Amino acid sequence: MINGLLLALVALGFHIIFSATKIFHIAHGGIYVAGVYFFLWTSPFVGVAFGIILSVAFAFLLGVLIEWSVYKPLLKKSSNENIALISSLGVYIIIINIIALLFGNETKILDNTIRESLTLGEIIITRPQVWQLIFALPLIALFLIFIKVTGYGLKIRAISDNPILARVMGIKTQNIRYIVFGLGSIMAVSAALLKGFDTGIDPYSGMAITLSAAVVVIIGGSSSLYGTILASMMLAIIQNFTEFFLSAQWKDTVTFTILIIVLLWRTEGILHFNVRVDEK
Amino acid sequence: MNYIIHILIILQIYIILALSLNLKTGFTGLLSLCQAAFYGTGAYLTTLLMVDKGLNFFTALFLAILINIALNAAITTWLAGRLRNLYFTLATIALQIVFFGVVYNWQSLTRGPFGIPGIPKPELAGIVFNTPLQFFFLALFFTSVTIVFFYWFAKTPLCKLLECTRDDEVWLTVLGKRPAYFKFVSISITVVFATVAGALYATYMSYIDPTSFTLDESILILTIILVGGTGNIIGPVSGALIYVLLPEALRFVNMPDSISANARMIIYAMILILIVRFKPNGLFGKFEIRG
Repeated sequence: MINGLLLALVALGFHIIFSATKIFHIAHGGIYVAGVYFFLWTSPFVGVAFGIILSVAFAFLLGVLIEWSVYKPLLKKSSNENIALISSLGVYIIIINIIALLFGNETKILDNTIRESLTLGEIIITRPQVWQLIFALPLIALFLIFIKVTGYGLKIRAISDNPILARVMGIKTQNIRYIVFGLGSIMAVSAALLKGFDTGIDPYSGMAITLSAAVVVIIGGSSSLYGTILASMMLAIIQNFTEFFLSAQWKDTVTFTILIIVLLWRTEGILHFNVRVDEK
Repeated sequence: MNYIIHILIILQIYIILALSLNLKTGFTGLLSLCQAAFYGTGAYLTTLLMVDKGLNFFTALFLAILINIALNAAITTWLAGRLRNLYFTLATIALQIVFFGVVYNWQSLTRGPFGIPGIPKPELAGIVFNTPLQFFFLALFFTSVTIVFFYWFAKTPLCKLLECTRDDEVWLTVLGKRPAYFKFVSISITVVFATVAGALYATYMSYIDPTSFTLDESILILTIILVGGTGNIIGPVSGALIYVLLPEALRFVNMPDSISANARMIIYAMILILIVRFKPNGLFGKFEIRG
């Protein structure tokens, strides 16, 4: 369940980027990892709390930087989504390898102290998992409020619906795109930090979680945020069952078999409601 | 000397892989990230037929090609018929990862992460291709066949129909042709040459394990043809040249091995982003890459 929440955080970030800009943002995984490493690097100097704030800000900037340097020029040339996918792969490879150069390839653990665990009946929960629960739920709620209630959220939904029309209506689409990338990156890095405190991080863990997030967004349907959250929960539960009954190695295989099935069966996702033709 | 021959053999394997992916992505317009799955299936099938069934290299290769077409080409064609653009690319990523999971976990057949050691060298009419030099000529033979085949193939009417599948599927249907059939032809030819490359790799290294055939490998092969350019012969070949020679060049500027792997990837990804940004059809390519 808690894994599902973290996956939902990453997936929501991925979702708004994917729906608003139609970019398949694999570099999301790079930001996920980079945020944690930035925290590792700064927290000895400035302390844990400030380090977290700094790394969230860093992720925001990194997301905006990627949009500014890579995707924006492509948008100007009105390239197709596959081009963006390839550039994004390139950005991901660069981020990951720079991190591997600076910090080494091995797994880093954020918190070395031995954690006491809480026991509720038969369920054992470690301290970081409690934090994950405490932080992830409000973050998801805040995110939903931001998208559904505020004016920015409305603008984001407007450009995901029809960017040209949104522009005609006087929305500064480029600024909204920056916000989308920044916000998505913040979601990714919060999940990464929460995960990092529990199990540690290595440079290559970003790819798996981004692909999982992508799977979740596709399964949940790219038109519904609730679908994404629901699909994250389902996928996390399925992954845990796979680990329990088969072995951890089968996890990705099962995930992607589900993806193929969903793609073939309902390309628009499980929670998609048909709209009338004249509403499209 | 053996060092140069080793580089040349690896170069030839990548040339075959790049050319075969070029047919699928460049000519037929199916941007896919599962080339390493084709390549890996080829390597594993050939190896298993040689080691477990004791077949000759060429018989094993032939059977491996047939089985690989039945497996991979059929599945990929089915996906290509149902899905478009980004979703097809995503499905090929899924296929690649499922392939890796199966090879990694099906231990009774593939020995999983331990890999298969002791793969015999190819043998033809009493000659065993044992030394690197002999193997170089075997690889040269296959590479020449590949290059000549694609050179010839690009001029056939069939190839024009493949290009039509890429450019305008509806128009092809209007002409009374079935796009799915041409996709199958294109993917099958890709699979054939990927199997050849896999067989060469397995017998040359005489050891294979699943980590040689990951998603990263697929990304690299796609990068090769994107950097070199698609839709002709010179593009993929030059891409493979850049890819194989770059790490060797880095070695000569005295970059230590521990960072050169990462530095190589950074340089390569930089080239990729710049190419996609400023010259979308690659260094020598004829066509812009599309979904």
